[in-house]
Amino acid sequence: MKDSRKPGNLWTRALFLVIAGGLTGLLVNALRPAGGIELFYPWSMRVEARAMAEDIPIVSLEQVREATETGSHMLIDARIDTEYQSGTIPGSLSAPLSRIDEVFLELAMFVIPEDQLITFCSGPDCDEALMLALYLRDQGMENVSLFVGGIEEWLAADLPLEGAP
Amino acid sequence: MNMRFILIACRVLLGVVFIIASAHKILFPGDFAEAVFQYRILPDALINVTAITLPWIELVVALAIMFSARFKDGAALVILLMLAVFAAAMSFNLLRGLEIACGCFSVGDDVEIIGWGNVLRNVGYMFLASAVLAEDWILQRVGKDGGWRF
Repeated sequence: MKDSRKPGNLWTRALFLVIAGGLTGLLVNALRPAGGIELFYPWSMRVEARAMAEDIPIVSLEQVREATETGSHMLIDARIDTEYQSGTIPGSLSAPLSRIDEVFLELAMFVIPEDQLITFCSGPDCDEALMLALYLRDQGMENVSLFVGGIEEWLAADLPLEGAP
Repeated sequence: MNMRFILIACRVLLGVVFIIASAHKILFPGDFAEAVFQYRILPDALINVTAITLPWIELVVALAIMFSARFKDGAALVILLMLAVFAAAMSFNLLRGLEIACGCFSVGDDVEIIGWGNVLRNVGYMFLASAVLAEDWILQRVGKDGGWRF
């Protein structure tokens, strides 16, 4: 039996709550002191999404930490020379994307296609490591992974850098 | 135990769960947007809008299911549908092998990773929401002695 105290039917009441909540959210977001978050953000352009679309495996901080301890993977820093010299993940090689053709000739002398490689750069917003991973794969390296968090995530976990002044 | 009391307990439990679930997301919409993105289900255009509106919808239905006699069934319906969508989204990602943040109760660093336990928990809450939705029907069929009338 219909309850006359209740407005509309069940679906109308449900829709009313959804609209009330949704509009409140939009209003609060607009009124936030820092301006809230933008209504649209190109998430699919993010490095992580592009790596997945390109079938480049993503490794976690824990996996990178294990790699530095066990030597199971070769870590490759895609940042420029001065950044590499200011401190990097222990055991990493430098392969700055800006002069990668030249660097790869040196790198190719002591890596084989089956080697496990992990590339990284300064943090989740840089894309040099992804570009480097794609380049290495194009050069025939079969096991290239990406550490998206890079130096930023490494430092956030209070892990030490090698070569830091 | 009195059926009316059990149904009130269901409403309070769901309300508290959804208030807790909404709080962190409301405070950190950027982190929640990241969690929504990680599910890799919605297109770019809907990710931030979802992150902005969903926590407030959770909060509104939580308050309605606890405090509003007029809107408790509408709130139970929304909660039921949301839980079904969340369970389906988690199952989809578990089946395709993604280990992502649940985005259920907290967002940002140090969060819960999705697992089948989360899906089961949602199914449990769906039973509670269904009971609230069918409150009138249930109360009509429970006699004063607590037995069912068919």
